[in-house]
Amino acid sequence: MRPVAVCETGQFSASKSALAAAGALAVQNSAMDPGQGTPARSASDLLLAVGRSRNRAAFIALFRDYAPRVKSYLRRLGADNASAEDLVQDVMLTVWRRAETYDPAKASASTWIFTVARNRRIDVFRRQARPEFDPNDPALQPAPEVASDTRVEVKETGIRLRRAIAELPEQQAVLLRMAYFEDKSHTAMAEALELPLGTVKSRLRLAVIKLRATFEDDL
Amino acid sequence: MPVHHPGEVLLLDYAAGNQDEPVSLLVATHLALCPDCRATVEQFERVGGAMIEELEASPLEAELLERVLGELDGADPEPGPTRPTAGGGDAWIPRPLRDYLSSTLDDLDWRNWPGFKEHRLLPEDPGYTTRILSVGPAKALPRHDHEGPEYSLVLSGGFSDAGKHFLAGDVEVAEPPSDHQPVADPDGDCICLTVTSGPLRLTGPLLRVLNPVLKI
Repeated sequence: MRPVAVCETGQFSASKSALAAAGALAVQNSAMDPGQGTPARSASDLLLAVGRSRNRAAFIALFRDYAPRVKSYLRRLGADNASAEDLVQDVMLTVWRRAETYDPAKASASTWIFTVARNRRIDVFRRQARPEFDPNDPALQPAPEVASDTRVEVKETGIRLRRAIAELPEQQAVLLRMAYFEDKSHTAMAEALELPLGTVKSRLRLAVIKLRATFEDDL
Repeated sequence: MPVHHPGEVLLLDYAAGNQDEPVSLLVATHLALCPDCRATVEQFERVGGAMIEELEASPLEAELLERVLGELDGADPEPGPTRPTAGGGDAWIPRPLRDYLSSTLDDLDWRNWPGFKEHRLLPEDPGYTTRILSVGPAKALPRHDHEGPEYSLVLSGGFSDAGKHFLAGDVEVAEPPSDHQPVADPDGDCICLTVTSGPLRLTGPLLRVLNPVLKI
């Protein structure tokens, strides 16, 4: 059995500025938000605060931290400055609206925001729907129960995963960036790089094995 | 649980968001039936999260935050992603495929062929042929090949092809050149979602002449 969703409360270096901002603003806003007694601690907590109590200070902190990166993501994917900004606005409003559905046991804040940005981009730039399974669908095949003692909380996957990505050989890293930042499927990569499809697939598989090993280490 | 999976590379494509709608529809419907592949896609989404973290911050227009904050009050909570709802698929067919069907299978607009029938989905997508196929017991599809990969997801029943057997939830990936001929199990109809990229060519000795006419 592969490891199923594990809790990720990775400490993101990028989040530190957000924490400071949120801490400062949480003080100002505490009267409006009695549910937030302690200052937010991580991007995940900020997102939970937005979902649970529509906490504006937490949203502003998330915005300062993530909006510039979401813009970089969209720029890498070919959006010009103006349409990237429009879509950043759209993505951040979607974060505000859907924050209630965020489950920190399933994804870190960065992962969740990545999926929101990915889906909004497909919707707006590609003008296609993004088909997704529905976790509450009665026709869904449920995952087998995992014994509670094997569900270990993960503290540093984010850091370890980023290190594993940084250490990939360049010819594998190139393909990973094409997949995530250039909208290229593995068949499109083979065409763009004039490589046989089999070579692209085997390089991606090697990359995938290394990255997935960082998840296996968690358990 | 499914035995034949789309493969990690295709799951990576799906998680990264770079596959077209027909292929994504097939992958996502497989995910509804396959907890293992769901876990894999979650991992690839974590890779996406990590890659976003690593991007340099782009400067934003000064007033963007104010503009977003100005819209927060009008933005009501939204319980989940909005879905296309043709709204009539059978309850046993998993989402997202169910949402693409305008009626139950019995009432779909089928095109009949000897031994099987087909219903086209996403006909406006030029790069793909997306179909629900219903193949009669022990019937064979015409022998064929395609210029791009063909993905078949079994919804009910089963079929055999190229020495392998596929049951509900399984995905067959037929990369070109892959001159093949799926045969349905003898114990009932086999219902599949099939996505073919690039044109399809019939390769049986008699059928070859029909290629220009049939356009299956």
